[in-house]
Amino acid sequence: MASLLVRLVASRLPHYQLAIRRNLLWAFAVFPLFAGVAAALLSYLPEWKPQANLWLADIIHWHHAYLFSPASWHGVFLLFCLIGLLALFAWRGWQGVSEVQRQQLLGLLSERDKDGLAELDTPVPMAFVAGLWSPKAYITRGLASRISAKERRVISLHEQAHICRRDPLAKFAFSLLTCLYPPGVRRFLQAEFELAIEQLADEWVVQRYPQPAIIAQALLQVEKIAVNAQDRQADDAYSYFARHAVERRVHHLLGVSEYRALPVVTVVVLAISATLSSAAGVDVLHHLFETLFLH
Amino acid sequence: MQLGELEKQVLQYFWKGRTADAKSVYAHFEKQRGGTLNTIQSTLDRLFKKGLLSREKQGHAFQYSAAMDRQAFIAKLIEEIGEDYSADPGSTLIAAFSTFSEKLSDDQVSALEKLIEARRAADSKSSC
Repeated sequence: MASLLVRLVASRLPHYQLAIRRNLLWAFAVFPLFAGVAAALLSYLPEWKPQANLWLADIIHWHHAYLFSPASWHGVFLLFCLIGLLALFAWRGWQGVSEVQRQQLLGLLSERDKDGLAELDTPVPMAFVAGLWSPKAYITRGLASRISAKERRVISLHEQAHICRRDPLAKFAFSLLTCLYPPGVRRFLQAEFELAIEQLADEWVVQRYPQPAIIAQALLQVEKIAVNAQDRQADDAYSYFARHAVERRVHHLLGVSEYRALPVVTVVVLAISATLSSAAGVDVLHHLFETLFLH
Repeated sequence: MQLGELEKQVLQYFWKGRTADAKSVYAHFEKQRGGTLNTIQSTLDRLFKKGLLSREKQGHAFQYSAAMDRQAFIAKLIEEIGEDYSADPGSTLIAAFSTFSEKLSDDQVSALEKLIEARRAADSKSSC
């Protein structure tokens, strides 16, 4: 249900205001867990409130939770789902820890710290923040040697924004939550989230360095340096860092993009409908399995 | 690429251009952090297996040296981060200055440059 909803709003998402987009993305990220908990709670409603109007329980048509037995096929199915869910989270967590350990090596290898940017002695042109709990900003010599003082200032502020906002940690939490989605939907959500945190960092920079044209220029300059480096050297590492979705960021910085608002009522109605549909979907799935086992 | 604390220290030791056997490395680190010769030997062996140290047998002992210099090691790390990013961009735990997605065409770049120039001109007019 959440995947369908994501596909429904995918084309509209870039046109919503940045704050709305960020909140919607987080809402999509937590929705699978929220819908699961909501479906479980709704199934227990008839037992908790036997005297109450049970129209909600009628909608989901799953009103025999009290008959649940862990030893039945229901229990086995739930156990498999639970194991799968935990394995997925553990795998993603382990991936994150491995990545963090590798990033810690960068800290050991970085040299002088100037303007809050630790320098790495490599020709690959890059600037980034790494580290979950104690994020640190890095710039490579390949980039530092080819930018002006103004551009360096913009990059430094941008990376400070990521550090203050703890964006690598937010990215980790988001990727952990969205790992429940099918790959295509997950990649779309993660790419949009990545863009949103970059745009929020750009806005943070504008507040402290109110010259959007210079910030946009720095962004475009880094793009060009990366593309040039890729053309000049046959090093695979360049190709990974030469692809940038700077267009939407530049448009956002210069105020060219026109954004729409999204009424809270629409979001609430959609969220409730999606939650109830997901809960109703449990009943469909349940009867499908029951039919398979009985016939 | 993951390295333990001692592995990092040993690597730093060899990046200073040294060539040494296990006993010499142990003698160096014994003063700094204690430990045993066996620990140093297994650390050197792990670093060799990871491709970070090279070794040559001289007499009964191996003489170790750095297989790649510091800069090459950093480039290797950055390349690994890049590979991870390429495989699954959104799940990589770095926040980069540039947002990586599709490559911009020349037309897109020049259109953006015009936009930026127009904004700069408008900004300088308003400040006059």
